[in-house]
Amino acid sequence: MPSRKYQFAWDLLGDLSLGRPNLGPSMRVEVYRLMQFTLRAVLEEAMGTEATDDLFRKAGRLAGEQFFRHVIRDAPDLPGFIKVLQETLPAQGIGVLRVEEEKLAAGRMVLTVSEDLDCSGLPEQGDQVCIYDEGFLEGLLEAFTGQRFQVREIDCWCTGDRTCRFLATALPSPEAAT
Amino acid sequence: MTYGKAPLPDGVRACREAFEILRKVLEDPRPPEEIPRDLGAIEVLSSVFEEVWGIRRLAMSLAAGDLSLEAKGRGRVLGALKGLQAALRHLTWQTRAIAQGDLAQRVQFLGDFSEAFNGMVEQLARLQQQLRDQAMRDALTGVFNRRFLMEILPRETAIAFREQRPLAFLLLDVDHFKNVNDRFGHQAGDQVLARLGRFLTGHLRTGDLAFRYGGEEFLVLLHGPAASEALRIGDRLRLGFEAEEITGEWGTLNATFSMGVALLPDDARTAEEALRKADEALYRAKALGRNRVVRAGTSE
Repeated sequence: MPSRKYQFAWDLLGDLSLGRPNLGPSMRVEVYRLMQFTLRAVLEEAMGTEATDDLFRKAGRLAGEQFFRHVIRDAPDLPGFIKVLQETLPAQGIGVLRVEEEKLAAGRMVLTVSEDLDCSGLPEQGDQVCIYDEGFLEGLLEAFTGQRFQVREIDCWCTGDRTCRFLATALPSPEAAT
Repeated sequence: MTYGKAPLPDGVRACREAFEILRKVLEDPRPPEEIPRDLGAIEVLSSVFEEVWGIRRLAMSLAAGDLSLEAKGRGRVLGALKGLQAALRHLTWQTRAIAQGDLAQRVQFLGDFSEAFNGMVEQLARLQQQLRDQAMRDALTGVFNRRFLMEILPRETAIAFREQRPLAFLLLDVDHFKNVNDRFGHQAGDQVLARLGRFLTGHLRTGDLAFRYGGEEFLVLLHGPAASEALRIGDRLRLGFEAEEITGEWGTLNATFSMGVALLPDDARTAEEALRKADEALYRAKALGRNRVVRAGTSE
């Protein structure tokens, strides 16, 4: 593989108190979406929809793993993990997480995210758009459990729903992950 | 425009029949499950029919308290119902989590209900804390009980060894307690024990712990003192309690106690050994005339 220019490291997010003493760490959601959807548009144009979805999911998974490692850091058990997520995700402006079904021992979980950073308020398009969220949740669950997960969005704001619903399924082996 | 009783044009009649079918899907107890064949040509009717059926199914399911329906359709109204379903499912999950002891859950849904529900959970948490306190404390003296001592002693000992900090065992026994009971009555004896419990609780540093070890025996665990400091603290407690006037209907008295002190790891390698050595030192303190502090392995 050729040398990497941007191997991800948490340090790349920078020292915001040093770099933005007046503007601070927050910005408008529109700006985040502007970057996400323009990036998505050019990638899709260059590589097609499926490959773009795949990249977004992979990026989301990396973000989820890193978020767990640097923000969540540790969780004593499943209730503790969910509690931290329920506190941290709204606090970070990512969304309001709710658990609909939790059978993690059986490898299944249904989660909803309302006021979602990626999609809430978008025009209805007939398709689920929270591909990055799918990967993000995969990364979080994998970092917590040590097991591979596939997360797929069942309902989305963009399909007319008011909350995004995700089905997480444990994968039998790393090779089976897509 | 009205048509009176004149025959309706085909298109208008078809629209009226289509609306009637959709109304039935929303309102009739046994609505049509299919669109009549002659209306099948109205393209949009098929998707609206499915959408309205989806709304009906989920609304009826929710109204019956069944949260299991996996609604397949899309659209704003169905989406709002799915949002309600999601909130109710989450509420169910939270209730299960609370039933399993996770009393940190709080509901943010349905206004007054949330307030009442969260109030109930907070009340449960308070009761649980009270029960926990009752299970670990001695009712008469307010200090921790012997069962709690036995529960935490392995952890306290492990921390002392890991952090290489001494753990001092101060075992004390009220002097002539039987005489207090005989002369002033059991109520006075109880009052002496209760006062000693309060005295110890009020005079220890944060993190140091007092326990009722037996009838009139108490144990104090001090974290981190050298032997000389443990003896100094023990003596200060002894002098302070001696100065306390204990008053009741039966009169006024001043009680004293004798104390034996042993330290981990200086005097013992295990908590059991430290307790035994503190007990031997206490015995010597009694033998030497009471109202004094004696360290393990010494005569004074």
